[in-house]
Amino acid sequence: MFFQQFINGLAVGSIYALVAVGYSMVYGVLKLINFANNAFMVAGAFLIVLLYSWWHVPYWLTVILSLFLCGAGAVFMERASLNPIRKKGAPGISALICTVGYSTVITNLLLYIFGSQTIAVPSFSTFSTFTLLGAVIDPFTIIILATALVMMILLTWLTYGTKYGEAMRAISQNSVATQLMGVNVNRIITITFFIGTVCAALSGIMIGIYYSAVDTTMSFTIGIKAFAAAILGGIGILHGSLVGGLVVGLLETFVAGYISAGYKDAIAFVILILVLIIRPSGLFGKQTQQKV
Amino acid sequence: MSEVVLHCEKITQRFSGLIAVSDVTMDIYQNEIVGVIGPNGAGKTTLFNDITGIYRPTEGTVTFAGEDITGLAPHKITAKGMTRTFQNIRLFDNMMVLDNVLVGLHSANKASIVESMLRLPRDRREEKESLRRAEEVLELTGLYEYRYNYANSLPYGLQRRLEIARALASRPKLILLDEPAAGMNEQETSELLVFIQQLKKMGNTIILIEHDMRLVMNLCDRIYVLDHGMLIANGTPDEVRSNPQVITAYLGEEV
Repeated sequence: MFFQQFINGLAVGSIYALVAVGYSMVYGVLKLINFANNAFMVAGAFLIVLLYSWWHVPYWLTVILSLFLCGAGAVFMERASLNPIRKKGAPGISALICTVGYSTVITNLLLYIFGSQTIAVPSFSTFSTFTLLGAVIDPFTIIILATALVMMILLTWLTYGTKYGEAMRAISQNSVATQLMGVNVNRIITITFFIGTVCAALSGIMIGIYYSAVDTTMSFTIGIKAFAAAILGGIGILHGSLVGGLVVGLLETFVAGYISAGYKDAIAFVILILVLIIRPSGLFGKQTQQKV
Repeated sequence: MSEVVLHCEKITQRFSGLIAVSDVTMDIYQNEIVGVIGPNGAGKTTLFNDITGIYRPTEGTVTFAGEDITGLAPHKITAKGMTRTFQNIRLFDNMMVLDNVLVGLHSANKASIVESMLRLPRDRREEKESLRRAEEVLELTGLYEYRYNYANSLPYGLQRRLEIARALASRPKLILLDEPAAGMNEQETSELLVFIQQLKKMGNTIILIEHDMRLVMNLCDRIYVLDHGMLIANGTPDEVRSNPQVITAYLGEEV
């Protein structure tokens, strides 16, 4: 029972972690919560349904197209709306509400195309479960874990091992100075939106396959937990998102397994609130002391 | 006379009714140190922002190394060989001294994101060259021993120096220093004076905004004086010092 819950928690947690990375990366460079992130997440799963189930595009190509289209959508949002808002020196809240707008438009578009019922998401293969230490394990959970881990390693390398990541970190500290160092700040921001959204879409696809189902409300139910994971780990910090995602995933499954499935979200969030009271900047966030 | 590096032609900057810079024309020649002085609010920093592309001048043109750069994006102007420092220090506080310098050098490198992630030959070559140049600049500016320290852990004078090192790294044709001595004590200011003189000897061309008159008068080949956005005088330190208009602007009219 314990091991079973642990594996399930890890799988769900990895998915939250990848969505959380989407929030975290954009926040890192722009200090902006991109609420369209969760809409792009479900869009990733819906695009699999559209391209594979309806249009019969080969599965591997479906995945690539879905990731690319979601990434491109976020780039469009940045270029067409967020960038002009920033240029006019508007307060951050304007850009924030703009992403809420995009999120609503995208989920409504999905509702229009796919309807409000839950839709089956096809998998690329059928897996036969196996038993390990008394737990029934779906091999796909291992794929989820591995994907999340590989993505995390790649992103950490990008952020801390390449000049692109260095530019992202520089922008987060001082965007004007970065631009005057000759860095094309808008290009770096575009890249960040693209990569962050690809992570969210990738987890959307994996959620769809894991639950074999997708509907537009997942944008909220999963999105809010991923957002909580990002805050819990310390938003803007990559490994924080990973740990935050896993903690939220494990909390949720253990609460469901040992206390009550019905109240799992409420209990998980109560624990989260308690953690934030003790560490307001998140588990890995720097505790900033206001100088007077 | 040597070559003109920067030519500003009748630059005017308006902010919804307020005229911050008005009809300023100036020339900067190669290997000169030129001072821009004036009372608070005279438009000095606005002029710098017009030159470096942070603002687009309402009227007038900026010509840099023979090329019209008016209204170009700041990163493009930097890429053409113009760098600057800021009145209030703008370092990347939570990065090491070495990385602060590398940010500017990296922006000129061509390797794509895929090349960087896979460390392909071009990226490796560029990284090596950037690192070599960054260490060279740090040595030149006396910051080498602090290269692994975080920028915000440096004492104030060295933070200012790091800003200049960062501006210097990409071998710019022109460096703009916005109040490099602001907040410095006398000792630090004297060191800065020697340091900027060294930069000139190495062939750099420098424009600086400064309030410390001793520094300006000792350092600059020529001085432009702004008041209420307008150029009221220009010439050698001696000419400017004895200009009655300048004295009025600084000390007020006799009653």
